[in-house]
Amino acid sequence: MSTTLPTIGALDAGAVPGAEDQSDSGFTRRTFLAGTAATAGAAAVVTMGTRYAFASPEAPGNGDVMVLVFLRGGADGLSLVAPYNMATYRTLRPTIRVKAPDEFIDPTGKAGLPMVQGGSIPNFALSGTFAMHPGMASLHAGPWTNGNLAIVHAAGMPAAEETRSHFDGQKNFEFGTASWNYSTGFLNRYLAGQPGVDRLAAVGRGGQLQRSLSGGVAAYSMYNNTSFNVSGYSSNTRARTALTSWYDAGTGDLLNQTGANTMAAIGTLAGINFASPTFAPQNGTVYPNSGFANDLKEIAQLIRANVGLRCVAVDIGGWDSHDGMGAPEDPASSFRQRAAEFADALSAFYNDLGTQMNEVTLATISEFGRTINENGSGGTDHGWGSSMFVMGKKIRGGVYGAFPTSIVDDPQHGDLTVMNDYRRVLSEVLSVRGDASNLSTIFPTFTQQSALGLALA
Amino acid sequence: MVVNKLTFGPRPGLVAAVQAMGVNAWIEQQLTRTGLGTAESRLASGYPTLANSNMANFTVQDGNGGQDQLFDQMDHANIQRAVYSDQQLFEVMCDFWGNHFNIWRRHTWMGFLRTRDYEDVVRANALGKFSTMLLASAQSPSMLDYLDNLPNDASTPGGVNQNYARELLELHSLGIINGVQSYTEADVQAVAQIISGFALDWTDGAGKYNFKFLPWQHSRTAVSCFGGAVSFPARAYGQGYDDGVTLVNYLAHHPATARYVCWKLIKRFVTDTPSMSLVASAAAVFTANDTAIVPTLRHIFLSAEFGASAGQKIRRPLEHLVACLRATNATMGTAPQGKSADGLRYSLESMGQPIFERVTPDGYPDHQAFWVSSDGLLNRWEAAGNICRNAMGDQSDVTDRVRVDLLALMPNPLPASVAELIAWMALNLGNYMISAQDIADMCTALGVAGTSVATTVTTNAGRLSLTVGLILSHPSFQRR
Repeated sequence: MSTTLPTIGALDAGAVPGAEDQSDSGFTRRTFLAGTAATAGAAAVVTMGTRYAFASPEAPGNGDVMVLVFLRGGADGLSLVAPYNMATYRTLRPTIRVKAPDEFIDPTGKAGLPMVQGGSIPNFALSGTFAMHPGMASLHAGPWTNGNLAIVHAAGMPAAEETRSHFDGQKNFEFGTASWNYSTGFLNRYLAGQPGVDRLAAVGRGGQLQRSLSGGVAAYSMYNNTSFNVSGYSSNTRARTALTSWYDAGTGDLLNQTGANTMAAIGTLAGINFASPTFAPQNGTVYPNSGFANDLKEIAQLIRANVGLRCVAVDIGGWDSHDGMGAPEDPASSFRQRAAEFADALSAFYNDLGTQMNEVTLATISEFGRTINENGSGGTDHGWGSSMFVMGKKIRGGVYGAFPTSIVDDPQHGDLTVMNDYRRVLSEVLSVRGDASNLSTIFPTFTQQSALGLALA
Repeated sequence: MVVNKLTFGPRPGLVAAVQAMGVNAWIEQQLTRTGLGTAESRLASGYPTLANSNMANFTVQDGNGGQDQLFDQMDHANIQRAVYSDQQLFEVMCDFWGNHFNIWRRHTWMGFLRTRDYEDVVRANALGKFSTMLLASAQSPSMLDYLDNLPNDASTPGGVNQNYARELLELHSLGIINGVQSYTEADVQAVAQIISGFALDWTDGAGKYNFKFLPWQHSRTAVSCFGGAVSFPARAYGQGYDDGVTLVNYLAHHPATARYVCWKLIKRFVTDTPSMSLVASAAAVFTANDTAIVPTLRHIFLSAEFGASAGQKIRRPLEHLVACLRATNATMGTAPQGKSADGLRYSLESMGQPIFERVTPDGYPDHQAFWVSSDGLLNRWEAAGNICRNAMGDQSDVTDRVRVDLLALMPNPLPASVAELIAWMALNLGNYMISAQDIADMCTALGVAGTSVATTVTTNAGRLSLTVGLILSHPSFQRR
């Protein structure tokens, strides 16, 4: 059994609920389902540290903070970034397609957002005719216009590892391989190859730890920053003492190890007041009111807290759009609302962190894209390639990678053919921005390819 | 060990009772359910929607109480069944099948359909025949709504919606085990055609919203799938319902389905990583008994692997919460919208398993890597601590709150020392053996000597609640 915390004071006879109770934190089922409201605090002037300022002496790692956003459900990359002049796109998506400006008398907020910026799109016959979904205006106006948003289309798992199952697909993406010989997350294996990883190096937002972070390096699931503590007992201090003794690190057992790690993390976070102005959003940022935006807001707080953060996994769900996607030009349509929730949160995070985005890189993945044909319910079924976003101030904006010259409707290998293995993108990000030198361990079944050139050293 | 596996956790005294009647006799008793469980009497008042027709529940949803009335009755009825029913294995199996055939009731506006699905598909068949349950699910308005078979209009090629067809194969029947899949994309497309028209009755009247085959949505073209094992010719208008039934029965009796269902059952009761030999032998029993669930379970429970599997599984949050409530003989109010119901519902939510709120059709996962996390542990411990100090949920309604009387649980006479009392609590409340070192660590945390008289703990309410709360927070209590 390991260390024992000092105990304090005598127990109050007949202690009643109250003093140390943190269970009444006010969140309810309804707020859980609706997403947590984010409230922007007053802006305060805080001098951003450099990477070396927030790396402790015992954590000399040179890598960025890596934020992996998983779009759960199979996001329709053909709506997020639309090849909107492609003939089959127009004919196979009569109502849900992103439309060109000339389809509207007044295109404001209706037409797709043109993407005239540079980038390299080999094999693509429609260069210059991609458009972002009109619901993503904030992402277009901010990170994209600033040249800090890279897009890789037709991205995903290659044919040999493809599945149209949500559940196997998400596992494969998070483990970095479709092989059943591996059962740890690729981000965890990345961290295992990094020097000086300690304290809160890996955080998964939410009640359960994302598989991308699971493995031998300690990783923590956090529902929110402020309630991460032992609570519920008549003396939480004494409870911590017992639990610290009982949950024993080094047994090789997941339950014991996780309990021990959790106790250590509580110690790391002790004394940090996330409600103080130091942790309020900066640069006039107002995060939108969604659970996903709140996750990104609190990730920014953890970055500022200098607790050794290196990898974060965060999820945004609701992409399994089998029906009723609606017209992109309709602000009330369901897919547009989802796209806007995604884009507005990313834009706020980018704006909040400001120059610190020099040392933070955010990348998105989804288990598959969707069929090019609109189904009978105004939705799309499980397809193949999707689009990836990579954001950061050391990311060179543009559209990268290959894209097919045509997309046909076919139940197996039609749809959007995967031209760009998602691991090619993440390998570049992890090596150039993450200082990784163990790519063959991170993506063990993937044969490395040349970098696309989207990350700056 | 068997009691931990086949129940939501033992009540004080249950293990001794099982030992007295013999473990195998008790397993038989749990497998052969007769009549209703002892929890049903708690649902006599306040739960009319459990027996309502879909149309009647539509009216409830449309009325003043709205959808919450329906959902709250579902939630608190089934939490009470888990806590109070003597038919514990049946309730465990309802939880299992409810996840196997998971439906997110907030997916569309038709959440009122979910009540009948859970009562008529899951609970009616939880220890019956899998083939009956699969066919009931395929004709469940709630399932057909959730997985978009209502708009699956295959009468035109562009009208197909594959969602239900895909999950019927992947999650409900043939399955995918460790990446091994026995069907193709073309099979998914064909199943979507065959099952098109499985929808519901929109005609006004008492039967509105019940299952109905709608021929105008059905694909009438000839179809062949699963390597020709299922083939139907082109059909006349109005035909095709029987083809769907034939397909579902084919799937229910398919060898891949037998393996997949048994693999999941073994995952539930034995280990996160089932051996394929036990899967194969259980599948043989499943098939030989025309997909009957009871003989399949009996085979698993009598296997050597089950016998050697103590502590190999992590209790999921629902199991943890109910185990805490049972271990402490907790009392609670019966009102579906009372303070007890609210408090327990919020606790499950905080632990990451809000009851009946899994969004995706795969149901809540059943392996430890999903549930063992920092946030998960903190919330489990909090639930145990709160229950033991009478702080589970709002306590302001003295007629409807979750309460425990820890003193009433204590043995009479008390053991001599605090250390012996802790050992007694672990064994008799937690159903596990605690090591001398862990007892010593507990005493250090409590700030009392292990050799002190036991009343040092029992006469101090705060210390007693902390002690029992920690007993329910020990690593061994998280396992089954």
